[in-house]
Amino acid sequence: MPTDTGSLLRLENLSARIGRQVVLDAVCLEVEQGECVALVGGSGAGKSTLLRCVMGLSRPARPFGGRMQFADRQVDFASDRLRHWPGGIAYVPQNPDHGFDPLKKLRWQWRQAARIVLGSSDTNPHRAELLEAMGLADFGGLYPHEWSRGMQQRLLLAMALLGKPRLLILDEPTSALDPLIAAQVLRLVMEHSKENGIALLIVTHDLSLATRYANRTAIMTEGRIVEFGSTRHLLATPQSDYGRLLVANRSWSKAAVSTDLKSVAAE
Amino acid sequence: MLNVKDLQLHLDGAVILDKLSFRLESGKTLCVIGESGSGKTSLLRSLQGLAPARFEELCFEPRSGSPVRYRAGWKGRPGLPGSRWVMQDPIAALSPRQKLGVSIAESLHGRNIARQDMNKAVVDALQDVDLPAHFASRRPSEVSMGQAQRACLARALIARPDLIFFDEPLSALDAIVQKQVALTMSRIQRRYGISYVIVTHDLGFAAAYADWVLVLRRGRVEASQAASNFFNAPDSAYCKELIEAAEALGELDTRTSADVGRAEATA
Repeated sequence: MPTDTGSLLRLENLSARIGRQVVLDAVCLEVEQGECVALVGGSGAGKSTLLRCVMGLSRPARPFGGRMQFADRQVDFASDRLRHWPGGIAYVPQNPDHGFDPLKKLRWQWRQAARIVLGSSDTNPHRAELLEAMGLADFGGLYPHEWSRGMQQRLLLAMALLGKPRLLILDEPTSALDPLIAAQVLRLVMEHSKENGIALLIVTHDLSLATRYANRTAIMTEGRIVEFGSTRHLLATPQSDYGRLLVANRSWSKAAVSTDLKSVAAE
Repeated sequence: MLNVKDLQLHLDGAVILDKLSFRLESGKTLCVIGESGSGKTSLLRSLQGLAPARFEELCFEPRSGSPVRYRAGWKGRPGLPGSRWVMQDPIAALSPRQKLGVSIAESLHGRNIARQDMNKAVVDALQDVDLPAHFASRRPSEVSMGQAQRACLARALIARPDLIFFDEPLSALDAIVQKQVALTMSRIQRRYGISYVIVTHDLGFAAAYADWVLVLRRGRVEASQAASNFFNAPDSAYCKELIEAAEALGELDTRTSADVGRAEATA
């Protein structure tokens, strides 16, 4: 639940293209302080492109229009460069393989993250605290492969939380992990972000995951956001065709199997 | 039709699979569930003769053709004639240079079938997996993930196997496509009476489609139960934990649609 209201992130008419193909078409999105928003869409809908644009990355998709307001900063997507990007946005990739350099010790990678986020590598007090919050032991002189994927993912999360972000972006938090670990990681994120008033933006292809955690859900297809509103409202009365399809297919149901079998038998 | 007794797999002195026993009846679906590293894929590899496993007894009785029986002390690598395999990543499983029709027809290699009949079989198989006939002349790069997975299913199906092994067949697909492909899978099973062994970590899928559930943990059987019993009264604390994790991720919706409707009405 949002503790203090007011929007933290507001995207207005963000458009981006790869080559001549427009991959994001006038996207508007809003995340309030301390709120959890889910961005749901199929593969190729432009979810990851949207994330990259929000983080200020202009490759491979190049933003060519639109504005972003983050906290009290205004950014123009077409003209502002990465070095003018507002701080306070943290990102956890969907797969720890994308987050760590396999040839560097975890200690080195942590220091590197600290240097970039905090401007100094002296993070020992934070480190113990954060690692404990994520249920991790100290990494000593270990390499990434010496930890399980779940532990790696939690360490990435701890690194994302290092700079005390105001918005945490999770890209497909469950798809690369098995359910036991995914559920544990999500629980930790939820607890930590609630305690510290961090807003969450969860990107997923799975509406049923969104309905468990998000206050509001945006549905995205073919580079547009076709629906954005309270998750509960969306589940009850989806407005768009794609939204209706997602809602109808959100969970595995035995009923669907048996009706299908009946129709086959009738043939 | 498939009866496995005391399957063991040791690699480099490590015990990968230990004393696995299970049986599968004709035309039924067995879901193998477990966290990563629990030996799910090793089990499939052992049954296909790709890993040097040892058996007390392995008995496979296809509907047509003679039964296969491997007993203790068998040194060769067993394989199951008349079985097919559908992989996790459909794009990687198909040759990028071959048209889908060629890949599908390859499954009939060595059967001495006239070209015309072969083409007809390919078209029929495509129809069975709900793909139009002209997909035979497309390449994997020209189709979506879901369509590629359907083509892989056609490739398995065209040989009229008695048993198909699936290694996480849906995890590369997005939520809506998963449900559509799963319906096609179950329809084919009905039509041709094929048995399925499906490795998955999506408990929601297992709840909707499995007849029997085999839970692996660190290479041992944690539970082997009829699906209906498993989800209502799991055998062990670990299974309960798995089910709770799946509920937390929204994979498994234990609420009926009536419950959801009521919750939304009161909200």
